[in-house]
Amino acid sequence: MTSKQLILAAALFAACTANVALAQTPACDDKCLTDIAKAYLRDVAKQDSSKLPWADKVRYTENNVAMMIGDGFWGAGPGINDGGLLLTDASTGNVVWYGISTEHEQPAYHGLRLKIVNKQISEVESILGRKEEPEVFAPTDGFKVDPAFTTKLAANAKRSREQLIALVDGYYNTKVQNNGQVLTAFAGDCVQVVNGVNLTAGDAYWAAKAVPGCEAQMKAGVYKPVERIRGRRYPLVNVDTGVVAALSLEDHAVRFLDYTTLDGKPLSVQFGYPNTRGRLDLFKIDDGRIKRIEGVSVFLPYYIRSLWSE
Amino acid sequence: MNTKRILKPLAAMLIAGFANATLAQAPGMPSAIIKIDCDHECLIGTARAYIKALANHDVAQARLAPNVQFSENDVLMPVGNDGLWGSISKVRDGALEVADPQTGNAAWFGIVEEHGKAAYLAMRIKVVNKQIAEIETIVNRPLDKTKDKPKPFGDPDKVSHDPIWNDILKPEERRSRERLETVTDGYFNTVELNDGDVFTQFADDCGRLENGISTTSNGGAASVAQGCENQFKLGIYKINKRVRERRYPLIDEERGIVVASGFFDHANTFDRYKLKDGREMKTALKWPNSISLLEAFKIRDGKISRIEAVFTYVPYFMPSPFALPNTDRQTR
Repeated sequence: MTSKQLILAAALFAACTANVALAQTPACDDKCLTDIAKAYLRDVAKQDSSKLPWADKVRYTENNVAMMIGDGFWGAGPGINDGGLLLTDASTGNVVWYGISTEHEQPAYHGLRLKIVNKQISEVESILGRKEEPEVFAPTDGFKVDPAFTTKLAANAKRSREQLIALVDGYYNTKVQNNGQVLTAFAGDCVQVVNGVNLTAGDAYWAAKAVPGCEAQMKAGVYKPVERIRGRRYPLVNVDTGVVAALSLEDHAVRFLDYTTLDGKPLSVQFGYPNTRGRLDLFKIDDGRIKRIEGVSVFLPYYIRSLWSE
Repeated sequence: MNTKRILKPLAAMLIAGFANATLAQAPGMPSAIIKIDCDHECLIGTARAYIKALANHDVAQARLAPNVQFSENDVLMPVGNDGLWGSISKVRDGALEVADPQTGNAAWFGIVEEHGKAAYLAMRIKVVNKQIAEIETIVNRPLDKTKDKPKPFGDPDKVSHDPIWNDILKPEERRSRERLETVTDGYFNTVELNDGDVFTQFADDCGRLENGISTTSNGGAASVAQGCENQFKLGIYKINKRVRERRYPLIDEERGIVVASGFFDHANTFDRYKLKDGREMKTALKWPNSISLLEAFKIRDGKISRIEAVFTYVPYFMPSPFALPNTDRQTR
């Protein structure tokens, strides 16, 4: 064997050993993900990041801006209220927490995503919907997580990961420049809640007053002013419960103020200037139909780039 | 003698020498001699042409360079159809216009309308070869009628720019480009962590207009204390954790004007604080937020006499597409 051949053989051996080592790295299962997320929520409230299992390189964003751990929410008298919802996806290493956090005791709707690699936190992404933003905001006193998001589906009501994502993507495709064409499927009792406000029923939201119901709103073209929905990501899917966690940026270009639904009802945009909504939404899909959408939304500068996907 | 072996490295050395000579100017500068290809009148004319094009929704009139960069509230986007280009309905007369032929920058502070509603617009353009290479805009929209963050928004029908902005200073009142910049930077040093120390100088009659409201005589912080220097000596602006990504792209020595841009970071690590006279203040918001601004300073005799700013809220710590990150400051 020549020395060249020896080097090549050694390199091959090293590569194989590395692959074996990677394959043997213990995965972080649902319990492991839950424990790390709970530790994160506990320690952020204590403003103590020193004991958390950080990866060598950590990316932290808050409302789509990258910053250092300790700044932003970490520094603003943070608190975590009880009663949030913690979801995990061991196949992607993502954990999502949706609940109420506080800053100097003032509550905000909070969507948090952690990515765990090798049992270490490598990504932290927060969307915070605060009271003084122009976006909808309901008092948080009555905040309660819908049990649907943790209820397991009957075997025949389950769908594959790919199908679940396609239904959510179809929801966004339906909403973009909404013209009545429905590119997803809704359950008859579908409800959407954003920052605690019901967007599809009741009288707290303009669209619900104009046309109630998830599918009815889309068929009427209520969301025509939505120019595009960018930066769509689906980091967490639970096939057993039919839940998808999605992140997106919804652009309202506001090229027009007034428009009509497809049946001629006059409507106006809510804000007369270009704006973008950063969203973290949870979708519950039962038997291939979107049954519930609930999440957090924040006003962002128009057309802001996603730091995670663009 | 092997002439080939000697000539080859010699040729290489000569080429390297020429290459070094062509790179011998100041770092980052394309030439060691600044060639002014667009004078004051040309820059103001280019800014006006852009604003006219914007009002007419006709980007072809705007004298744009092929690779122009356009930002609105610190977000880069295609120019000509999106953002304010898609919503503007009118440009009002009476803007404050400033130019700096040495850097090729011009600025425009005025009022536009979106679907009939007035908004404050501040714009900086950078002109290269008589074409606009950069457009940086801050648009401050009116408060939402139901709920919004507290911010000054003056009655657009009552706003005017003080005529002294256009005064040509007497030679003894002028200061060098460098001194004008340091006086302005000292203003931002004073704002940052405002604890009563003043690191710049103010004229006695100094006044500041923010989004159309005088915040030193009858609005905003003026309800606590009046006058530029008094406010800082009292420590009203303590909530500014950082004044970040400061840039001074436009300086007019003849008129004593600096146009600066940057961010005020309100980290809100505290929600109450005390003024130097012992009065307790509450922060307007309890959560981290930043304001992004374009701000003009009139400096006469080395003292800040007028300040005019357009700013808007952006997500906390949002960066500018035109500034280089300062990693030392970001760890604080």
